[in-house]
Amino acid sequence: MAEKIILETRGITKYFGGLRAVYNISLKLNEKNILAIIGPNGAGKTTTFNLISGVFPVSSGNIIFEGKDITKTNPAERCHLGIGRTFQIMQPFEDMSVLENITTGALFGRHKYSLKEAKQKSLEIAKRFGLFEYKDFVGSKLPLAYRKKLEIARAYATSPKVMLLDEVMEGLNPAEAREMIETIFSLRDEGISIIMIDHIMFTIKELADWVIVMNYGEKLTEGKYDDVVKSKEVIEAYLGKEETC
Amino acid sequence: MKKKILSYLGIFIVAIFPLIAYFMPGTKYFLQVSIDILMYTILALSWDMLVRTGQASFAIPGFYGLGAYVAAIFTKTLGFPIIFSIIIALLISSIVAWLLGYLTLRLKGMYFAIATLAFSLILMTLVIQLKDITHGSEGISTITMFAGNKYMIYYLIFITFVIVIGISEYIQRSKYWYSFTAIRTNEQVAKVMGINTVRQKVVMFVISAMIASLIGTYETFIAGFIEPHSVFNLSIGVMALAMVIFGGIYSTIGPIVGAVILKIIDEILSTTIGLGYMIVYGLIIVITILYLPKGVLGIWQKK
Amino acid sequence: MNTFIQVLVNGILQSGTYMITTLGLALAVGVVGILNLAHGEFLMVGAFLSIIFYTVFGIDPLISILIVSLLILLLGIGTYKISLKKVLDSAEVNQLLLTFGISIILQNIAVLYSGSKEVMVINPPYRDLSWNIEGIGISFSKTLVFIIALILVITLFYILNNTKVGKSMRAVEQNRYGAYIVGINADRIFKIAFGVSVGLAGLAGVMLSIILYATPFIGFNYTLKAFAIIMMAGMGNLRGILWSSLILGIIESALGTYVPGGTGWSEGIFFFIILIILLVKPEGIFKK
Ligand SMILES: Nc1ncnc2c1ncn2[C@@H]1O[C@H](COP(=O)(O)OP(=O)(O)OP(=O)(O)O)[C@@H](O)[C@H]1O
Ligand SMILES: [Mg+2]
Repeated sequence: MAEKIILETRGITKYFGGLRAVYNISLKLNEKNILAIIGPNGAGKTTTFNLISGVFPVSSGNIIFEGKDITKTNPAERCHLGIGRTFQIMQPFEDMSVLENITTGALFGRHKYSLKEAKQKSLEIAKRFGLFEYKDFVGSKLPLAYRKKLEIARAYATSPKVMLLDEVMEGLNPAEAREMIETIFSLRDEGISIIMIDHIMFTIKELADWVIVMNYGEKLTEGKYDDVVKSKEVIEAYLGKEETC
Repeated sequence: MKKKILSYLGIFIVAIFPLIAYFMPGTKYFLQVSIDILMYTILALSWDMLVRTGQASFAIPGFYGLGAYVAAIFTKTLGFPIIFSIIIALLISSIVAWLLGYLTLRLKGMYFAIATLAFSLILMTLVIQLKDITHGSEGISTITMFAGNKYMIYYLIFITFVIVIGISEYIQRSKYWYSFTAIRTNEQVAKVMGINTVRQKVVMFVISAMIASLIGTYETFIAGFIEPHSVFNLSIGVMALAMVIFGGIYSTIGPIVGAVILKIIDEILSTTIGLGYMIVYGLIIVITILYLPKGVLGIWQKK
Repeated sequence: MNTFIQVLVNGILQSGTYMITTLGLALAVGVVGILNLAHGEFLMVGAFLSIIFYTVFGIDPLISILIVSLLILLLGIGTYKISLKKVLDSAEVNQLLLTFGISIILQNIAVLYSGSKEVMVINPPYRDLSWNIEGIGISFSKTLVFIIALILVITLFYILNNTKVGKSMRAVEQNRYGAYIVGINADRIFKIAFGVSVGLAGLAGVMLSIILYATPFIGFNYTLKAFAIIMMAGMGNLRGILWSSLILGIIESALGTYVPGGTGWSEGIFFFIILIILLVKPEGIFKK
């Protein structure tokens, strides 16, 4: 493979007390690729993101970003290196407008823009993600689709090289989902490498270069979308579960 | 724009106030009251600045008392000039605050409040018990500054007031407004957005502590006498906090308005009603919380 | 050896005071999540009422205790209805300030009543009664406080774990909305819990009026110590309160006996222990 690996985890594991939430997960993200993580509820997907973004320290294993071991760094440092993420449970800053939320990302992200630059940037970003008309709204008062957009816009404002998108499709209607797919492609085309968690199969089929399936904290299998969905383990893991869209 | 003119006008009035007192006989009393008001305004601001990072502290009495005692001991026992004692008090307070800030960093809400309260009470016990150094609960008497000249004292505090307003407004208008608000509303997200929450919280804790400590040193040199139960008085912290809530939290003008109104009410009631007058004060707090949750300025104040 | 046993006995009895003052607050803070800074003032009002009943009507505290607790329980329910109810969903600091306001009001009502800073004491016949067993002095009234405290802790523990109302209280704390879904009337549970909580404060006040004294200003210190003990025990952990009170009581009594001028340090040591626990194990040392 000629492609360059930008982010790699080597056997990362996370215990919450006695609960093994993530076990021995190794993954490789190629530059300008989209990697999808799928798996049933509680499989440990979000926890994997929390480990990569530094929200929780790993119990064991290593995280490599651009060839450097970042396992011991804190979340702010990882952000400065270029790892941005969205949250599954959307968490706009309560006392801030949409624009101010985005400005915060620009101020403290990888480029640490000055206040003037950051305000300028945030206007551009709000426009780009279709948030301009809502720019003075309080984040929590936004309709769902716009809150998802705000999550992405705010993470994008930190100028990430890698973005971790946690279920940004969930709850969107088909038109909104379509728009979101285009947004994710546009991020990729800009040179951002992406890991996305999702349950919705057709979006993954369209977007993902590579798919990892998790269950009970472990990696079940990985591969191209078409191969993965045919694999026996995956069908078993999803059997009896609700229709995935 | 209108706001700006109003603010400058406000500061101008505070600046020339002593002249009124100077030319109108029998108003010296008001000068003393306004010194008190200004001191509380500063304490309220220092509390508000810290709470913008989400940390509701009860360490004000601790640092106020620490400043007061270090200043008193250095002038009285060691014979230092006032200005050096103040500087030393600030140094010591900043070191203590830095340590305490780091230690209590992880604590939130009520836990942080109780930890900082415990700090204040521990310091008070130390001061009462270490009689050789502090003279214990008898208190310690020392010199007054400017030979007790109230005008000079007023202007010293006025200058401090302006500086603290400057710090507060700087926070409101700079990137720190964004980081503090982010930390306060969701610390975990703030971290992921690249904010060094540890450093920002500790630095703000230290600044806030130093301001409280500075006002403590002023108290020493205004009164010329301090005793542990009055300078480590928890109600100093509680008053500052009530003023902030009453005026309007997370702003510069709110704490100022709160401090001015509550302190004046306090003064009027204590002289007219006397014993038990604080009941009105309690009612004001209850009513504010129930009906004006954003303080008296909440009605037309945005940020 | 005898001194040591005496220290232990005094410490254990002292822990009764801590338990009885903390118990009610633990119900409000730890079980249903209401931060009540006026807890000590409700206690103070209890002590005042007990003293008034004794001096004015000649009713012994051990008899008036039921009336007083009930009166204060009703006062608590009233307070809940007109004020607290409205801030339950807002920021923590609002609860703290509101109840702080209430504490000032209660304190100053007491000031208006008692006029000055005069200390109020009563002397029921059993106040200074004590047993002497092999040289060890055991105060009757303190033993009484201890036993009542113990009974109350056990009763409350039982109620929370075994009755419908108790289980509802814990459900409400864990998930207000969820509790609503399963048909628990959260508002009613809060009202009951808060009423009982301050009722217990009033009861503690009556008991303390037998062994200590009362001024309008005693409340705040009790509130602080109660909060501290709850944190040491770990939120919602009643058994932890028992242990925490014992440890603090015994340390305090040992300090008073073995360290010259030790009683002066007791408050500082008390809060030092609390501070260390918060820093090292913020979830409490007796976590369930
Ligand atoms: N902070 C935490 N403390 C304790 N347990 C946790 C924590 N976060 C997650 N878990 C547990 O770890 C397991 C994995 O959770 P995770 O959120 O990673 O799943 P997920 O794959 O993202 O699920 P979903 O599809 O529902 O979002 C679950 O059993 C969850 O309860
Ligand atoms: Mg998840």
